[in-house]
Amino acid sequence: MRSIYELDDVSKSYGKLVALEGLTFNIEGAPTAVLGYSGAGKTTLLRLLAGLETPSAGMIRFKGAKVTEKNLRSLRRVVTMLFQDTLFFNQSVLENVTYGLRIRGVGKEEAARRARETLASLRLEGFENRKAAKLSGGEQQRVALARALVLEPEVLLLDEPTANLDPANATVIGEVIQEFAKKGLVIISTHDFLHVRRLTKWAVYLEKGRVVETGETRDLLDNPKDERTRRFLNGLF
Amino acid sequence: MGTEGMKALTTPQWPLVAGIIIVTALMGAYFLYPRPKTQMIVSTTTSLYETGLLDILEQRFEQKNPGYNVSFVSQGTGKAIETAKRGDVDMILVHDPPLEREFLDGGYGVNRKIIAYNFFIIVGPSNDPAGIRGKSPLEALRMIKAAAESGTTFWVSRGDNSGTHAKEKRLWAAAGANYEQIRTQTWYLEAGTGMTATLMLANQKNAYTLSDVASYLKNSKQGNIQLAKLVEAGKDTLNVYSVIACNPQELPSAKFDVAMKFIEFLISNETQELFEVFGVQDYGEALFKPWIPLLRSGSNPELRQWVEEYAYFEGNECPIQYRYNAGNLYG
Amino acid sequence: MSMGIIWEGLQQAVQLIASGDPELVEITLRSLQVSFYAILMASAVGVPLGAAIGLREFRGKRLVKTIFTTLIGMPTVALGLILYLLLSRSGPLGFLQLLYTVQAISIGQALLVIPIIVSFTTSAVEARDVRLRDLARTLGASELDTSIAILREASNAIVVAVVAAFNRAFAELGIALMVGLNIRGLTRVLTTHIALQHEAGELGLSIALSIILMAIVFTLNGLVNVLRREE
Repeated sequence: MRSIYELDDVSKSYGKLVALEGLTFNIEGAPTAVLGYSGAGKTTLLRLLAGLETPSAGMIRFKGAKVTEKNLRSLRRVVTMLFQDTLFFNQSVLENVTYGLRIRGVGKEEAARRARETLASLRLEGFENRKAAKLSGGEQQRVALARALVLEPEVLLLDEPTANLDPANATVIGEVIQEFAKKGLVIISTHDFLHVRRLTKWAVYLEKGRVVETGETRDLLDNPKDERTRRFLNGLF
Repeated sequence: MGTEGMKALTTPQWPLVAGIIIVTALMGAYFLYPRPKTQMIVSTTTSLYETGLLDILEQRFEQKNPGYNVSFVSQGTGKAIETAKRGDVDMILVHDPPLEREFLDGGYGVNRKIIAYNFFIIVGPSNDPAGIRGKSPLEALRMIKAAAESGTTFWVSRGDNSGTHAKEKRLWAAAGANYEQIRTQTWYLEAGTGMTATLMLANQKNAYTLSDVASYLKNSKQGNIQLAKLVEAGKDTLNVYSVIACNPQELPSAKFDVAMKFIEFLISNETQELFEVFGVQDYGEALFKPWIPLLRSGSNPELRQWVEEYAYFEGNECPIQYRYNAGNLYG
Repeated sequence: MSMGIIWEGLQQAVQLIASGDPELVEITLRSLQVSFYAILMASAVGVPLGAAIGLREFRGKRLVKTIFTTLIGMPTVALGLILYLLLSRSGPLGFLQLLYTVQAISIGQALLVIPIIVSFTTSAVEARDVRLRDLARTLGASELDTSIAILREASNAIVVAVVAAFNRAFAELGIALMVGLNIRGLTRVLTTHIALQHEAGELGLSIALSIILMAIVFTLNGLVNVLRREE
């Protein structure tokens, strides 16, 4: 199977700040975890994969095609990212969740129907008309996930999805992500090991903007090859 | 990479498009809606405008000529003429013969017609500290100047290049005073604006001022001022009103035909009769005296001579070189 | 001026307003119409412009923003004079025959308040989370969709700007005076008539017009404050 993402010496700088440097690796179709300290460049990497930004140097391929300024938008139509801090439009849950469908030309009724289905799968029936911004943290995370899933993306990028979540919410989200992983690619940046082990098959460890180690999740967690990886894992256990 | 059938207009964009269409339609109507009536603009003086006579004239003219809409722009005579030179109006109705001459000379105007006259008056506090009551205009001014210099009173001037202001300057010169010099004195106040405001200022300061009859009577009646009429009709204080059409050869945007119609209207018997009665009911005397009857009947040769001396150019109200398509305007 | 005259004027004013004096109504409606179209034009230009500035990064952005904020303080008489010189029949735009028309006053007022709308819109758009843009984009929005979404989120603040702009246009005197000259039945609006009627000594009418002017302006101002608090 062809890799979904191929990174070739990818770097990203913001002015003088170098966020990522010399990233070269592939991401296949299996659920992937991106691990690292805060500031290591996880979010930046996800943003590049989401098509929200372009690399300062190097090349990214998506399904074999080079990602350029011109086709960024079509990339974003099939790749959706959930941010670390959930953000909503100043509207109802339903309006937020149907947004992506509406701008793709889906009719109002059809969009609402699909939205309700997705909300139900996240145990959010009845929430449709509430103001999204006024929900609890856990509820907001679920709405944000619904908003992404209803679009049936090919790739779902999650930036610290289970941070600050009570176990109940985390479980529901975990289940839904697992369900999605059967059809599409999930990439999660996190330092929550319980879920990493359960949800992902493959992992990348980043430190100071560089790839330190990659491998199957279980292998990386149990037998890290690099000293730095070991230190990171120890620090968090 | 991710092909998708896309509707030309996705739903959230509808309100935007509708909004653009509505706004464009509204703006189009506002700016392009054709104005059914022909617009003619007359540049005139504030003292004439403030009497309300012009509104009546406008109504009557528009009644007789429903396809036209007459508007008056009132400023001081100086400004009125400047506006006309720029071609922003179609004719002028002012009372300053030297400036009118200049206007004709410069080619800006044609077909001048005198339509009415009245007198400037000197008004002041009723206790008359300078003692000018009943004196001749020039003597009165000298006495006012003396009294003002000794601190007993003030003088208020229009100070706005209006016809009244121009008259005032000439009177000071004829009285032997140096205008530029007295202008800087502390007793000489410049209102810089219309006749009513000037009168009210004089009222406040218990000062003397030069005013046209109409403005004085009107403001007196309204109770705005308590000044008294101290020096009335005299040769030096004659005030003559004329109309001049803007010259279409020089100012091509001027609506010459309408202007000519209006001039004919102003010298018609009906309008001249209106001049005779306007103000009598409210103030006890006519604010303006019609010129045409005086011209035709010859009933007051002395007055007629005053007017010809003051307001005629080379023995004629409008020498031939300043006429253009005048029809039988000059009989 | 004695109290008696002022009192008389007030009585006259109340009577004029209560009786729905037709001239009063005509002047008021015209003022509203002129400013309405002014705001229409100003918003049509100012909101997209303000949004474009707020949403993009470009060299000289800070300079552009400063220019617009500075232009807010444009003195109306100066702008009125400039317009007069341009629109005069002997001026460069004289052929448009716009002098002494309500359309010209609307244009002038629009020019006056465009900086207000642009500045407020830029601020409103920038205040909206920068990440809102990312949110829209990651959900597949085009640039246009994104801008629409942000404008919708900022709409409260933009409405405040538009109402404030209307107030400024409605209450200004300099432009209407220089470009319209208070011609009866043509370009006479509340502000010019108050200014020039006062000169002609018609106290009752001036007071009546002032009352109306203040009523409208203060009501709209109150509205702006209520909307601001909901922000």
